[in-house]
Amino acid sequence: MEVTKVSETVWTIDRSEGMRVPGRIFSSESLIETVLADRAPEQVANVAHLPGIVGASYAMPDIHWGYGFAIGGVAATALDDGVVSPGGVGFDICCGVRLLGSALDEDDFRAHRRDIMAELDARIPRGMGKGGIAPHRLIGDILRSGAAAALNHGYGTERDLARCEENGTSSGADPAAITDKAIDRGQHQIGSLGSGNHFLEVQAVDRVHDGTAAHAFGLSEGMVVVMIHCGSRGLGHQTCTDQLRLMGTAMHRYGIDVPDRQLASVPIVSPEGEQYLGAMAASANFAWANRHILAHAARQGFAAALGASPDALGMDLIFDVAHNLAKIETHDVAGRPVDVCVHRKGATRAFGPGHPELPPDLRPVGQPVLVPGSMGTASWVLRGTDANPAFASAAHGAGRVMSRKKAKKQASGHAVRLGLESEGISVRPSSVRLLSEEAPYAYKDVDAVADVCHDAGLAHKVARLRPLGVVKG
Amino acid sequence: MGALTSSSPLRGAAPTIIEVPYTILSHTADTGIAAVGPTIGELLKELATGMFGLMATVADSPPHRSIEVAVRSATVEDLIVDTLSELLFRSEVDDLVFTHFDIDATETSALVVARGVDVRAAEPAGPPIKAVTYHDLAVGRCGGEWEATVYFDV
Repeated sequence: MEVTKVSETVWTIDRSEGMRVPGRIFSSESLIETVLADRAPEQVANVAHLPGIVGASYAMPDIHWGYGFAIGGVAATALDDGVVSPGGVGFDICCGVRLLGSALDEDDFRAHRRDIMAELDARIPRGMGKGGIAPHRLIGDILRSGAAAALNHGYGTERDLARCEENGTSSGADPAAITDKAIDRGQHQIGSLGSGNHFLEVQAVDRVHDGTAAHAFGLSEGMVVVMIHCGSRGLGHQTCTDQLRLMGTAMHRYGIDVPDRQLASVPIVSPEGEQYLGAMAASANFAWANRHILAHAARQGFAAALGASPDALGMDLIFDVAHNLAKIETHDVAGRPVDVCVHRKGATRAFGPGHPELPPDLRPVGQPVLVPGSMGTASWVLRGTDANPAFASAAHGAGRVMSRKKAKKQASGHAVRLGLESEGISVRPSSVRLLSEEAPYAYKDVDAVADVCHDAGLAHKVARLRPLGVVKG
Repeated sequence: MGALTSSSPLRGAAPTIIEVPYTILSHTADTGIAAVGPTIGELLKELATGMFGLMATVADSPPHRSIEVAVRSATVEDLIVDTLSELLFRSEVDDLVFTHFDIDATETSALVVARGVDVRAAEPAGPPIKAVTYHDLAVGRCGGEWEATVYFDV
C-alpha cells in the first residue's frame, strides 16, 4: 500500500478498489516511520470502505495498529445513508480522560508526597477483579444519567458537570439495550480504574504555551493537577461484544460487506443502528460516572493526606473528554452543514472557539483536549481550533510504538519502577510485574504528537504537564 | 499439543516450528494467540488456556471451582469468539481464573466444563483481556489439525 507525503503534517492513501474515500494520516517525518512499520495504514484504508463515509478516513498523529479501526482512527458517516460501526468506538466505550486542577504547587506535593500517594493507592481500585467504590445498586441510575446520577448520590460537585463533554450525560441512552450480562459484569466495577494503560496520575503544569486559554481552563505554571484515564469497564466491553454479535448477522441483511469483520456495521437509521447507539450512550454514561466517582475519591485522598477539606484544595474539574465514541454532529462538508456520525476510536473531540456545545466560559478559546503521555513522560492540554481538518478531532495520547510482548523483554517491571522513582516519579502499580508493558519506551514521543496536532491545526498547544506520581492500573 | 509451521495458512501465525500448545502473537496495542488441536474441542481448549495464560499464572493451586458453559453459534469462527467471550464473562463475574478445560464441541456448538481458582490466588501475567475480537480471526484445517488465530483487546 502506498502512503504518500503531501505536506509536512499530512500523508495520504489514494483510493483503491472498494475505498469510497482516501485515507489521510496526520504525522511528521519523526513519527511516520513507526506508523508505516505496523498495519495501521491498512486499517485506515479498510475504514474507507464503510458505506456513507464522508471526506476521508482519518488517522491522528498517535495512530497505531488496533482491531477494525486503527487506534487514532476517525470516520464520519452521513446520517441519511451511512453506517454506524461498533469497531469505530471499540470495546472500552467512552474511555476518556479527566483532569482536575488544584490550589497546590509542586512543593506542596513533595512535602506530602508519601501520604498523598498512600491515600491514592488505598482509595483507587484497580487491576483484576471487582472492587468499585460505589454500590452496585446505582447501576440503573448511572446508565440513565451518567455523572449526573453519581452527583445525585453524593459524588462530586454540580460544577463538575459543566466541565464535562456532554455534561457527563450522553443523550439517547437506552438502558434497556444493555444486556443482563453487561450489567453483571459492570455493576460491581462502578468507580474503578481497570488495567492496561489506565491510570491516575499526579502532574505539575510544566509550561504554559497559551496564557489566555490556560487561564480560561484554570491552569497555571507550577500547579499540581490530577489526570484520570479510564472507561466503561466490563459493562462497555460486554456491550460491544453483544452488539458486534448482533451486527455480524444484521449487516448481511443490509447487503453491507466490510474487509474486516471487526468493522461490522449497520445503517445509522435502522433498528439495529438505533439499538447500538442507545446501548453505546448508556455505556458512555457508565464511563462518565466512573471517572466522576474516581475524581471524588482522588479529592478525598488529597484531603485526608493534607488534613484539609476537599473544597479548600481547589480541585476543580478542568475538563473531561471521551476518546472512544460515535456521535451525531453537524459539520461543514463541501461548504454546507451536514449531520454525520463521527466515529472516534482513540481520538478526542476538539470543538473550536464559539461552538455552542461548549460551556460559556470556555467558548471564546475552544474545547480543552487532553492528551495523556505514558508513565514518565509529559502529557498535554490542547485546545480546539477554528478550522480542524478532521471533523473536530485530535490525538488521544502518545500512541503505542512497541508490542506488550516486546516491551516486557526490554526491562523488568521492577527496573521500570526504579527508573521512574530515580526521576522523582512515585509509582503505585496494581502489579509491578506489568509495569514494563506500559513503560515510556513502549510509546511514541508525546511532544512530537502534540507538535503535529498543533502544526496540522487539529488542536493548539495550551500547556505541557509533567508527571509526579502514578497510580497504575 | 500441536505445532505451527512456516507453511501455516494463517495470517500472523509464527513463522517457525514452535512445539507449544499456543503461540503469543505480537500486536502493537493488543495481543493475540495462535493455537492448534486435533479437534475443534482441543483447539478451543488450547485457545482458552492461552487466553487465561496471557492474564494470569497460577502456581501450585489446584482448581477448586468449576462452571459449565454451553455455546451455539452460526459458524466455526463465531464459535471461537462466542466460547472465549463466554469464558471471559464468567471469569469476570465469578472472580475466577480458569486453568483446566474439558470441551466437547462441533463446528457450531460447544459444551465446556472450565475449572479454576479464585482470582486472588493468581498472579497477573498481563493486563486483563477486555474482549475477544474478530480482527484477523482465522480458523482452518491444515494437515489434519485445526488451527486458529485470535486477537484480544487488552
